[in-house]
Amino acid sequence: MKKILILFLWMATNMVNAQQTFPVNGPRDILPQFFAFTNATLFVDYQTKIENGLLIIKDGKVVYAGLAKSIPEGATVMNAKGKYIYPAFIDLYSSYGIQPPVEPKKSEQETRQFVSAKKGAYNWNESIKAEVNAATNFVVDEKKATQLREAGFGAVLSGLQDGICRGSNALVLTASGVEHDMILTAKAAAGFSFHKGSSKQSYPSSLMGSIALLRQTYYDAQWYQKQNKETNLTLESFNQLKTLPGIFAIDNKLSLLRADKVGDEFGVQFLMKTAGDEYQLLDEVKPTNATLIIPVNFPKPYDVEDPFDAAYVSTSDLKHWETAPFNLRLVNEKGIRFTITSDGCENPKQFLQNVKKAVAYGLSETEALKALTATPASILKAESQIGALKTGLVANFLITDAPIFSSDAAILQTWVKGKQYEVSAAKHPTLLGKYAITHPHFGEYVLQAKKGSQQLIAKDTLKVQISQEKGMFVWQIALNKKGDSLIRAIGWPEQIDSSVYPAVVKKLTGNLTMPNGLVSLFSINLIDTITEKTPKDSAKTGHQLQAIVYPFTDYGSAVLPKQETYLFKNATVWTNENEGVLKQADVLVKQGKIAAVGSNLNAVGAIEINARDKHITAGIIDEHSHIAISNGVNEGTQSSSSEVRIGDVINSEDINIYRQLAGGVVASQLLHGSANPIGGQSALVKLRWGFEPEKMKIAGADGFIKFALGENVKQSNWGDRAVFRYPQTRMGVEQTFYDAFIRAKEYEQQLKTDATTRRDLELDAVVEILHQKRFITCHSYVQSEINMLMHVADSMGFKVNTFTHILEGYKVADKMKAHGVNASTFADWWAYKFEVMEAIPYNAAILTQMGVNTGINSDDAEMGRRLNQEAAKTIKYGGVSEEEAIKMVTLNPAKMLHLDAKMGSIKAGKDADLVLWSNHPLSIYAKSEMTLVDGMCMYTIDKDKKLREELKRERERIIQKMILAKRNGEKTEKKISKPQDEYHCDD
Amino acid sequence: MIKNSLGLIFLFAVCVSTAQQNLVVYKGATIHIGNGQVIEKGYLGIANGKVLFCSEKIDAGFANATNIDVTGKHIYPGIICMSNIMGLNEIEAVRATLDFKETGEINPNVRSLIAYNTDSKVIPTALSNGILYTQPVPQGGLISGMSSLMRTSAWNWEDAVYKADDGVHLNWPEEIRYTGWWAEQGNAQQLKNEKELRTIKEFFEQADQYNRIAKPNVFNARLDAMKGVLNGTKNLYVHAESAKSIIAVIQFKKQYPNMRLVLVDANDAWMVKEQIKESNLQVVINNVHQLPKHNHSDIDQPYKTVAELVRAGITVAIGHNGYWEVRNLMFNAGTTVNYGLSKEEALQCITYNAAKIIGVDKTIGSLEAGKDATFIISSGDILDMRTSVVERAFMEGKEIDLDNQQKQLYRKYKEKYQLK
Repeated sequence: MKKILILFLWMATNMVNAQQTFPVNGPRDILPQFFAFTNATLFVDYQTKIENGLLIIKDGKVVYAGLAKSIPEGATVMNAKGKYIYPAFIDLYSSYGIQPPVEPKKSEQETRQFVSAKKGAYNWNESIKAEVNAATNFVVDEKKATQLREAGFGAVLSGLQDGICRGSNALVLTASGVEHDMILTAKAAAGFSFHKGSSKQSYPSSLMGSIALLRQTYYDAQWYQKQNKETNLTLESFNQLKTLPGIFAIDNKLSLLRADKVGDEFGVQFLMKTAGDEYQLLDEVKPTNATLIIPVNFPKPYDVEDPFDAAYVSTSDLKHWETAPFNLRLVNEKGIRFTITSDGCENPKQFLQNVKKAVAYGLSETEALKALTATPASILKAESQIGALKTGLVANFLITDAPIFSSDAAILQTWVKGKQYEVSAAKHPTLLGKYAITHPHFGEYVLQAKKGSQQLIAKDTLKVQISQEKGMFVWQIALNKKGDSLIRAIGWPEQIDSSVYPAVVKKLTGNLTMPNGLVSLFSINLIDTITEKTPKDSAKTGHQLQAIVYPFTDYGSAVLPKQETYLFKNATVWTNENEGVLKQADVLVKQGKIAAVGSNLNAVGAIEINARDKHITAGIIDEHSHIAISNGVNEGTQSSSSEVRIGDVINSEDINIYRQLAGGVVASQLLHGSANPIGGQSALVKLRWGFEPEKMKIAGADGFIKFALGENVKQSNWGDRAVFRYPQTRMGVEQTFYDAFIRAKEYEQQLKTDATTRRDLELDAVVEILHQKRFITCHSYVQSEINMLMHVADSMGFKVNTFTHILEGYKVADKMKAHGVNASTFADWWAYKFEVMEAIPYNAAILTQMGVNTGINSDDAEMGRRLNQEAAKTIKYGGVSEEEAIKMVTLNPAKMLHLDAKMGSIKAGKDADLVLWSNHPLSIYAKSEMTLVDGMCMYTIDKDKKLREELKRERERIIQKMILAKRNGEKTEKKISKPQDEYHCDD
Repeated sequence: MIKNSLGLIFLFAVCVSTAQQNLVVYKGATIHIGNGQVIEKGYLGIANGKVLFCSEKIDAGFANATNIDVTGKHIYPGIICMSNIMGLNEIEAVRATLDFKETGEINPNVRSLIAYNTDSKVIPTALSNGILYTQPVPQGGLISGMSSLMRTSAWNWEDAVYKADDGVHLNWPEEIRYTGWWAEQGNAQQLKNEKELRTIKEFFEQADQYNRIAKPNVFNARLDAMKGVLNGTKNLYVHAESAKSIIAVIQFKKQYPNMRLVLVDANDAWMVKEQIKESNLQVVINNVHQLPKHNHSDIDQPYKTVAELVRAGITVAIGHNGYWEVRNLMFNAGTTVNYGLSKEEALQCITYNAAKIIGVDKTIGSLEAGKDATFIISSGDILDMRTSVVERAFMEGKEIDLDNQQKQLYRKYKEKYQLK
């Protein structure tokens, strides 16, 4: 009865496995799938190890995993003595079995495509591919499956890694067979990224555009649920995806924070498929609460022998090479939940090697195993299927010949769904120990066989070379030093000890050929063991974690600056207040603020700075800057892009932040470019070097937005192909503005009256302008367009806050004064395009005299570090007073940016953003000796000198380490690091 | 040396005898001679378009001369801006105004003086800041063409020429080049560089052979244009930025020992200054105001490169890329004062050293007796924008108009708004 029952069950499950619905051509061909693995070191889950364990699997599932017990009848017994059995790994970031997307050619990217080319009731933007369902595209790929199994994976989460929303991912097994049997969960997760991928559509062209598009899509999906006017299959799918875990593939640690911020806005906690650099910013990554899917594609050492070429490898690349293998350990120590992906690894071997490397660099083996099994299973709520070896789970497991993360361990077999796949052959028995030889010629000798060396020892010592060929042992015994007289032999094991792995030969017999050609029998017997010193695991002890510096690049520091109490004594102080320029004055800084300005000040515990013969000014504020921006300063693909925000893409690691601090700059407006009439929202930041993007933003600052006029927005200088996007004339520019403001007004009304109104991020920003909640900085050159925008503003009921560049401002200074607009101009730029042919360096002087609040800006990372000199040019051109000239780069821009209550002058209570100058601050001979931001010392000449020396030492240290790694046989690669992105308006 | 001194004495004697009645003496100014020396409250004597004397005291014999009191002012030699495209283009974004890049890779025979537009609106803005001579340089390709030294005030290019065809410009193909956001990497880049290097090598070999033939049976303008370079009567300006390229240029020079070779745009020169000194190369650094090359570079490396080279004993001129930007040349020199040079040394880089490199130091570049009366009078230190206001300028004895379109517009709108 019992037997019948088992048989019945056996048949039933097999029928399930063989796709019930399919007809069979000829007699069925089903193999019994019932195995018992005995005597193994068995991991039933990542943390439960059972010595001499028993694993029974049947029809693709685990029947039993645990302590040894009696084996049921009918099972094929596999003796796994000396072997290790682990649950198979799970990869949460894979495109296994999915046709890869076709990346558009460069020429295709340049074509202008405004809406999606995908036919049907889908989304307007092609990079939102919510309707994509990986399961429907999944096809078993035997070649890739083999690789995955070789890397230890029994199941992977597979999806189309293409686009900003990538649709649903499927959880699939890596066995060979039909798709029907491989898909465990058709919709297991949803995929996201900031890359538009194969989409040839123009929008979005920048990272901030991608972020805006994703946010808008969330709002669109919310709207879609409430409306019944149209069918949009993409939004429908997008809403369905919300119930699944969302996996966000990001490029670097800063984008991790960006993706998490998007998630926070919509109550979504994304899982992050990272770039493996999160160790560089763990204090910020941890509070995101995101689970990380971490690759282990550690960089290879670079070719750095040539000192000239080595200079082209950036310090962050050098440092990342050194520290990347510590990433998993550091993430784990921080208490962040993580899994490990093979994404980015060249091959399975590299994946396993690098996981072992991470373990060698301090990640515990248990945590490594957890990250590869239990954690991914739990993320997908698939614990009842995979991730452990328990009754009822899919029989996915690995058999290894040593503890899996030990350096010489190999996966022998990967079993997926109860099916065996050989990965590497088990090691043959070896000779290890002292052996007595039975042969007339060698009767006195004892063979000492160690790993890698064998000797025959009696009165003298003979070197023996023994090689193993398919289980046979081939000997060569040199009878003299020259080695030209050899005894050759071949032997095979008669008895082995298989209680150890690899098994040790106890008795070997064979034939021996003397130099004279006579053949005789010989045999050896194990008489004693040799205890070898276990070599110190150099991996575990040899890797020194270097201090993480912030930012993780040049001129970073392990410890961030703090607010200190400073007392500057006897300086010439340019107050920018009614007091004017004070001689022999003291300035006291406390808790980030200017505490007092006067003479004979004292403060207990203050760091006193002798500023005799030196000058102090308020920190320079650059009204127009494009430094510290990641992946694109323009979203110029549409004539209005007010939905994009520079604040989403601040790059806190731009070296130009540090360089500008050295030029006395303390704050900048990071502006969108000028590619379109309505650009994106600005970010107002202080140059807090070493702090993450959100901490650079000026708290409580008003919102600003970039507008632009003239040749750039008309695309006049973009070549003859750029003749399609509206506007192409100054006439069209005006209409673009009217259109936006009229639409915004209607939108606002609609929001009030109709609860189902679609939230429109583009118009939200325009509405803010109408309510003085967002302020315009408008790129402008010729007088006609300046005049035009003021007219648009007057008739639509808003004010233009600032005209930037404003090179012909002098021609309409009276009208500007009447409008109450600020002017932020260049000192002397002109002639670079037609619309600046009547630009004059006297512009700032005229505007100032006309009563327009005027500043000098940089728009340029190089000029940004000597804005004091640019301000001084207004003295040369137009005779502006020195005090006014200083204000043009301090107080006046502060006023334009509505920051003057706290910044821009030296007055008790204001932010301690100060510069100590070596000389008259408007002179070319002045250097900033010290730059304070919020009372934090961000730069001093002395500290800079120290940092340079450290930097040179640090680079040299790592370079030498790399050269050593190459000599030790590591493969290297050529590297020319990406230079710093430098943006101007036109980019 | 002896010969030179004798020559000067002779010249001096001639001048004294005929110049008395035409002598004008500018007295009381701080005179920056341009050769590294400065005279406080000095006397500058000008006669017949030449400097008669420049000294701390005045000879009693010159008592009758016309005296112009310029006490408190500064006098400088006319500034020379090397290595730019001013006059070769007017509006960067308008193709019709661009005249600096001929098509093709090898163009030693094209000459910048031909395209130099004396009616450019840009040139007077440089002139009014004290730049009296400019070296327009053809751009692009491997050999971009021949530069000349031109006056910034002239009726036509013919009048403008101060030294015609002073040198040929070779753009050394860099091994590592950044294009767009990303560098081209690996083999492709290496190959490209090698192919270009081969082209240069072959061209020089051909030119060398061609110019050894007294009467070639076919005239080849490109090869013919190299004659002066190969026999050392013209400069070969090699634009080479990286240390590796500079070393390669030094190796290249060894094959043609007669060549007078000048390194231009040599931003990495500080890394190999000893080798440059040893090879007797002169250097033109364009744009002191630029960003450091690498993120890990010293943040002030571009500011201090000139001083590092000068201290190594190299003759350095500071030039300026671009055209409208050229008017900031003196502030680029001014910056080097904070990074290792004295003010007079900095000035020398935009006057005497430039003249020396171009080969016109016998007549311009400093205010030494016998040289052209080419000088500017400024109300303050011209290296510092805070004080740099050029009031008068003299080109080879003739006072020139410092007005320009920008000043005209300034006056026009001051008038419109009735500003002071």
